[in-house]
Amino acid sequence: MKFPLNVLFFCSAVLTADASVLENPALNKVKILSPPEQHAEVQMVRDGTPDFTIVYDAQAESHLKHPAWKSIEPAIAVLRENIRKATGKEVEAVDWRKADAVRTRHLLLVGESPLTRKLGIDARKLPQEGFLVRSFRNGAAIVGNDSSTDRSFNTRGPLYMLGARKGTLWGAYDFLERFFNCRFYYPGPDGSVHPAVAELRLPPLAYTDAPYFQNRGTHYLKIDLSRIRRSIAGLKQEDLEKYYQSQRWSKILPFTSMHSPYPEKWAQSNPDRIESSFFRSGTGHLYYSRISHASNYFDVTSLQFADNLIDSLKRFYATGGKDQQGWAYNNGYYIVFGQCDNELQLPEMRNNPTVRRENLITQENISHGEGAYFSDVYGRFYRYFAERVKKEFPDKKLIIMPYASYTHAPFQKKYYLPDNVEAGVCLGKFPRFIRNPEVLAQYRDQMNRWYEALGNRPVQMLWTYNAGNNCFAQAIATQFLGEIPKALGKTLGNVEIFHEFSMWPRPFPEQGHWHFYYATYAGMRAMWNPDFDVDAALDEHWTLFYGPEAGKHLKEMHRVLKEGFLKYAVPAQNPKALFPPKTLERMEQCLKEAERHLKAGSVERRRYDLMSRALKFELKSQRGQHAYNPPLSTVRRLFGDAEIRIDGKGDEPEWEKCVPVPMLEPNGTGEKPRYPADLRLLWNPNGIYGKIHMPYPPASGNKDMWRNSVVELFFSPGTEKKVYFQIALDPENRACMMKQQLKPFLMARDFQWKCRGFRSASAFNENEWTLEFFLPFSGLGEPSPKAYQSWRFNFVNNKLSEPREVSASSMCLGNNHDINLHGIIKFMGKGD
Amino acid sequence: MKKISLFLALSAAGMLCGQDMNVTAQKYTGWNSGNLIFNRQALIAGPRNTCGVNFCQQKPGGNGETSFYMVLTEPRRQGGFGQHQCRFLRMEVNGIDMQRIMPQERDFEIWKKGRTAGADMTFRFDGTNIILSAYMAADSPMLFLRFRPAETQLEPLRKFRIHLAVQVGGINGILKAEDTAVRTAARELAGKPWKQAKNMLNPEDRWLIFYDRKLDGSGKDKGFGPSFLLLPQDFSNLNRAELILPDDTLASVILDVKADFRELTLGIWQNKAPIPNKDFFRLFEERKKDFTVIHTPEQ
Repeated sequence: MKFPLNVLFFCSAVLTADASVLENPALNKVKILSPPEQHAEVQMVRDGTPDFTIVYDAQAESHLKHPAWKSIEPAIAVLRENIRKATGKEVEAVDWRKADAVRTRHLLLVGESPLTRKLGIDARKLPQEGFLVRSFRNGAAIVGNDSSTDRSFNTRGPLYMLGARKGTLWGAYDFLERFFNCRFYYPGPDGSVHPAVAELRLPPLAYTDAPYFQNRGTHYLKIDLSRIRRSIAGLKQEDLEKYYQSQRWSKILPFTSMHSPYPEKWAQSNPDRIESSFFRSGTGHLYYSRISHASNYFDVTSLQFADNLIDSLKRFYATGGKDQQGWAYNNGYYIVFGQCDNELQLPEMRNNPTVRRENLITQENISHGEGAYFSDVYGRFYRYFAERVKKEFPDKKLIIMPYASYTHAPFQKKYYLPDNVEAGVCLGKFPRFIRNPEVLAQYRDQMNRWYEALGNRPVQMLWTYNAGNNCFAQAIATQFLGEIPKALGKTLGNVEIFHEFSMWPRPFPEQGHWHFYYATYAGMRAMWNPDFDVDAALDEHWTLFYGPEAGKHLKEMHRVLKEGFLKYAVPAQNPKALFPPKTLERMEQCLKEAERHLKAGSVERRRYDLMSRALKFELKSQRGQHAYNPPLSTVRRLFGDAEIRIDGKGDEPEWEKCVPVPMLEPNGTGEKPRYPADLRLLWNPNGIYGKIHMPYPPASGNKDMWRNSVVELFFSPGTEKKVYFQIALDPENRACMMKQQLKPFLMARDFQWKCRGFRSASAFNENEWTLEFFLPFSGLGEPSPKAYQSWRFNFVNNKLSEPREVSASSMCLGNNHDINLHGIIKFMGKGD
Repeated sequence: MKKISLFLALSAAGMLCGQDMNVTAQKYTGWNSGNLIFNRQALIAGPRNTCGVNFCQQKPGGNGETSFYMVLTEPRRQGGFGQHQCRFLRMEVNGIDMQRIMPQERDFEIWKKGRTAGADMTFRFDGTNIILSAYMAADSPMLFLRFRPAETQLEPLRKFRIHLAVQVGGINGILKAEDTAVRTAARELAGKPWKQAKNMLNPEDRWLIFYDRKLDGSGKDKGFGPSFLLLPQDFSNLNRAELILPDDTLASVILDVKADFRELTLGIWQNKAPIPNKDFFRLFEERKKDFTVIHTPEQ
């Protein structure tokens, strides 16, 4: 007999496990087996008291060096902790040798032991990380396929370390969720639910489960505790560890698709190979930088570079990995090769002699768009490199990282890849736009081509993204993660979907994304089983987590939010799509109604405050976006005898006559920045003068200027959006410049561009920071504007000293480069 | 005689004299007012007429540009000089179009002097400043537009053009022109295709009555009737004066003013309610002095 979930919830005080519990759509789908033994109901909890003892093999894991490899011990700990929360009573745990002496009526066997073997359970026959839960006459057993019982586990040496299989631990969590109705949504005491259990009776039952993907979880969730505490007060490190565990995080295989080797470190270790390993453009620029990771670009047109890598790898493996040379992700099983994020421009690559000679960029590359421009350049390189790896390191596979302008598989069949190559492909629009037919068709095509290029073998890993710049998208996108393997079929293997859950989620970067815990929960479950019923799980959770009244309104709010995302963001492939005011109003109404039913100081209220914070921010931002017009600022005309000395002091009287550029909160909430910069602009036919004063001490002293407080200036001459220039300055007067052509066609960002004649000076102390600069029009390659001409403009103040704040002159919604949101500066006439 | 015409006749006869001139500073509230970053209106009211002169600057549009313009909202918004889209007065100084400049709050000032009242607006063209006084006098139904260079100039005035636009016959954009015409003191001109629409004006023309012979203001869908422009009395300030009179809705008068001019005054008029062509012509003959005398602001 099936009970509706809410009835089951409210009747959790008396829980009789039956088929509905095993088929609970809100939990992982398990494989139900015929119970191997018929017996009377086993009453595990009686009158609120657990009537069982946990029994395990205390010797099973005693040989293990690292606690992190254990499964049985943490399973017991988590069972005891959570059953204590559900009943208020302690459950004892004893070694199997003492099982006969226990005082309770029943036993809960945890992990493999002679007692479980007596029941006929063979853990080694279970799938990797899988587990079995079954009842028997005297109790129940949770047994998993654990590395901890494998005496040869991780004995080969440091290069051959694998992640531990923890089937028993996962079984314990499943047991708690299924029979004690525990739920674990986010870290800390508030983030989980432990309904009281007065009675628990188990009929004869048996089921198994095992994860789909071998690697689950992401370092993007591993954020510094002090930062997470800004969202979840009082959180402890152990809370975080328990949370990762509850989400079944695991990295069994040391399979990674990443920037590798790190170019700066590799170059440092191979200085004589720099010239033959880094790309040199036709203008003579060598894409190598000791300091800036993103300024490096390996020369994948050069097979000599592949030979260099082979020599480097020989040294690496000969020293057991001690001579690391930037190969941070290599191990005994895999060699990892991937470029960093720097973008080479299409004309640069196209003009390369090897590319021209070998015809590596054809019309087919161009017609498939930016993601295919360099696919055959890389294909040629990969093939040669992989063949060499096969010869020199026959026991290892090469993992490649298709990304950016080479996401596509090579089109020319001669560059198809040998069988020692695995791929970790970046599909940037998944999962958020998986429901867009165009995106789906495009990615299916891409994956089919990779399948073919890999010799009818699947891509083993995907790199996918959330939508960091929009809270509505972040709240929904990850819920679609489970649809990815179903959509891609045989072209995707089961190693990993690496998902950037959102490393820098707007609007609270570096605090993690606990505000969207429900989406993360869905995503993590999908990594365990892509068929996980996200809707059922989230539907259940609103009431469980917030109570029936508030939960009802939050469920409706979530429905409207998801519907809005599917209607407004997905068809347009725009994660920042504006929702209509009526939809915003409906969401606001639901939140208000929910709030009415939440008592101040209650755990439900704390959960609500966490969950709603980002959504309320986005609601405000969307309202602001609806009302947004590009802001207009003026550049005062400098004329006559007036002079500006670029010395960082900014004490010339001309500055006093300028109207400061207004600063705003760049996400559109309308809140006033607490630490606005005072930016004033002057001009004459030679160029633009600027003075920026920040009345607070800046972050300084970092080697990487972007870790200091930095201001960014964006200028686009005229209003036609043909090209724009970015100039970033830090308190130590270091500058970073970039130019990007937008029309007549989009070019990659040119970080080599420098504004000739640009001058700047800064002065700072413990209280404030001032910058002055002069930007010559000739340095931009532009004529002097006429009076009353307009340019597009954006100014961003990145205050990185605590408390941190970003403010800007435009509402750029987290993307400072979005020229469509930039404001306007108007060059004033004399005397204006 | 229609009520409105009676009112006009009485006002023309000065029967409502004895009332003072009044001017208030307000904001324009018509079409597009929600998109303005500069919005000032001088509502000038007197015994003979009421004029609303608006100085508006539009926020940057999709093309990133602002636009500064003037519109007339009283005596009426529709047709004649009052059509919003027609932007009845534009200037160009030293090659800089008035649309591009940036007005400032301090540039707008209302004033009342004796039996005249109006507003001054300073237009700044990259160091060359022109002051426009838009004003009325108690004894006249006209709106006078007086231009003069500011006393302090950072750059000399080299070129100055005044452009007036009018929906002929007081018709609005919905009704197309049928048979446009302009009567001056010296002649009668008919609207012609655009390529032939240019007419040079000379001192003998003195004033212009813009009207449509078919859309004659006599009833529904017949427009509002004539609009009137009093040219500068002294043509020696002008290099050239042109009338562009197409067989189309919008006519223009372009005055190319000499760089050394000291002062130039025009007058414009239109009725609040529709007035048939023939009624206006009769009124004009009877009250010619009201329409052809330029009043100067009193001290």
